[in-house]
Amino acid sequence: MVSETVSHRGHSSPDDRRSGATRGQLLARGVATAGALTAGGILVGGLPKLAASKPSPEQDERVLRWLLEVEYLQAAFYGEAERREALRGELREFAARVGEHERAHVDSLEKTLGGNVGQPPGFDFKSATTDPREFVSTAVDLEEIAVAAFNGQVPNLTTRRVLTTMKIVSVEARHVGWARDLAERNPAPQPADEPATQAQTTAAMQNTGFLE
Amino acid sequence: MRRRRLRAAVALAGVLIGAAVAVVLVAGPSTPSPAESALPASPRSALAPENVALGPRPAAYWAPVVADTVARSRPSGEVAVAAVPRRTPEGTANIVLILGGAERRSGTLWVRVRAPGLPDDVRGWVPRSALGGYTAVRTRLVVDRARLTATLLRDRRPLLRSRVAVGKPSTPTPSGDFYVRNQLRKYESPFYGPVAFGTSARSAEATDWPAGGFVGIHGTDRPDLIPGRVSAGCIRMSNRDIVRLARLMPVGTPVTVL
Amino acid sequence: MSDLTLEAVDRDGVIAETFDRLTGGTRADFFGKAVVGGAALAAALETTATAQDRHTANDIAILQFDLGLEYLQAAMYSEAERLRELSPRTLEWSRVVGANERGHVKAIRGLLGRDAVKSASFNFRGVTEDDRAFTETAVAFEDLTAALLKTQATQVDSRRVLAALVSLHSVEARHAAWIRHIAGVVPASDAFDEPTSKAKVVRLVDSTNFVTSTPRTKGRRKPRFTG
Repeated sequence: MVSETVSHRGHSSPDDRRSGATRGQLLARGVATAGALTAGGILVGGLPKLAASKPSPEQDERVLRWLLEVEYLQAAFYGEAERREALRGELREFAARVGEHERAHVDSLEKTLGGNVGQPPGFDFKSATTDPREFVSTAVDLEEIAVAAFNGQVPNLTTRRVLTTMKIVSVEARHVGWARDLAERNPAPQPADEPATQAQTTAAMQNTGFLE
Repeated sequence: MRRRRLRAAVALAGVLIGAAVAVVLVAGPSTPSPAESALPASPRSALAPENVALGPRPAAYWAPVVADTVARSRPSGEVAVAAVPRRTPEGTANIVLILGGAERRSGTLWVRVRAPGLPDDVRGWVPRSALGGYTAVRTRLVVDRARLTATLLRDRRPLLRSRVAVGKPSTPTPSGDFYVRNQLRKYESPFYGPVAFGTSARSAEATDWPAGGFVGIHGTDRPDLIPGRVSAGCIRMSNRDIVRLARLMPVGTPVTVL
Repeated sequence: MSDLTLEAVDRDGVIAETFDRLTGGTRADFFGKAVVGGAALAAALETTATAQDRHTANDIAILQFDLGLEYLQAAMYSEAERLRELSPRTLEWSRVVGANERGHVKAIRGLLGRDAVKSASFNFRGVTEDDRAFTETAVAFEDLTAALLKTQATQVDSRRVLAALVSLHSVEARHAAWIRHIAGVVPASDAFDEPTSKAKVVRLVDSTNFVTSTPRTKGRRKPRFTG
């Protein structure tokens, strides 16, 4: 049984799918040597087996705390973009509207966790919140991270929490469709979105370079 | 701080976001992620869908006529080119071929169709609302009066070939582009064999025929006359061949008579 | 004769039955592609579908309902792409979205195997031939499918089927936002998207009158052709 790691394409898929690669083929290619870089650029192997564990309220809480981290990053990004007032036209509207949604997501998750949350972390967005092209491409990246992160965790939640998270990820997916169209990229290059593991999401968030 | 521990746990750099494919990294066993923050991966999806492009272009689209109407030379125009009733003389739903062309006039959508006419199918415009749903067909039948053959093609490739008898010189099978309108069976008439297809083709010589002189494709009780030029316009094939044809040729199939 | 398809030779359907059982596939899929012999046959036996997994009756019903909705969407996009009456811009997104929806149909059919339902017949009543009507209808159905999948996500028994629904759900939302954006409508108006019920879906589908009965083009009357 191959490990549960899945392709990370959910983070930032190339607009054209790699020809013919199905999930099965990618996994098969990956189970080679530990730390080997495959032809497709995937580093697989040497990974702990992360079995899907049964849902529980305790796990729900850990999942929601984790998803909150993802929302903090987004909310901060759009919030700063709005404050710095460098964007114009539709991008300005995008930042305002999407930011409002992300703040609502943060509120909702914080409330579900009973307000028992720490301080949101600090971020350094540099010119990503002022330069229009960087703004759009960063928005695409962050929304893709969110969709993949949420999709990765919804099936681990108890039924009670599944609906709320679906209601959120649905809007994240709209954000990504909108942002990708703004970036003149195919908003829906694949018929199904890949989920991301916590580790994959962490790595992607790290790599934005925004985390202090 | 949790963040710094995670970063330390991430062994290699090189995650590319944007145009390139992201690289997956997870901590090696030397620095285990804190147990309380390690979330499981989700169960493997039961589906692995891939994009599906459309198949080959269909040979034709047809639609049933759901309301008696008239085909006009122009959308919402005054000149009628053919009556297009709801039913065929055989009591089945009348059908037309969809040619392409859609125009709005005063809120009504008009579409361009092909319908039975003389000497050939007519082309005209009908209200979209007079038609039912569109169905694609991949097959085409080519009847060669010189060679006395009928060839069924699917996606342009031959599927079935048969010898035929066609109209005698005084009552020829008309040449041109037509289509199959219906399929009849269990009617018990050895003359027509076990299956008969009605087409949009009409015999110019037989317009006073009770049902309007439509040309059919059917079996026969005189296989000895195939191949030949013997009929009053219909295209006859052996009973064995017409049964094979019935399994492969749906209603709506365009018929070209050479 | 070497290019004869299976359908032409399989007189009593025995061969097709056998392959249906082995592949969990459908006769239509198979007849569309298979040429008698060799590599094509072997390829046809491969499947990524987990048709062998036992689904609960509840999950089967959910997937069958989804399949019905995906059939409608796929048929609408396919017909639009084929007829080519819409503007080039519309045809562009319709092609991409249609390819995804057709992918959904194929995947869910594969998953259901023998439990796959057939598609209804559709009359799109000019919607596939008119830009504005098409765009509005497409948005409505993308929104609707995303809403339905939320409800179903709370109802499925299998977590693997849940993972599948989740992976399709975000794609429908992408479609909805994209099409709205092109139409000049706000792609995401609310912070939270609401679920919808199966009953509401049935009502909306009914209201379109897209589902139609197959026309009666076969009869038993004695032919009165020219002869």
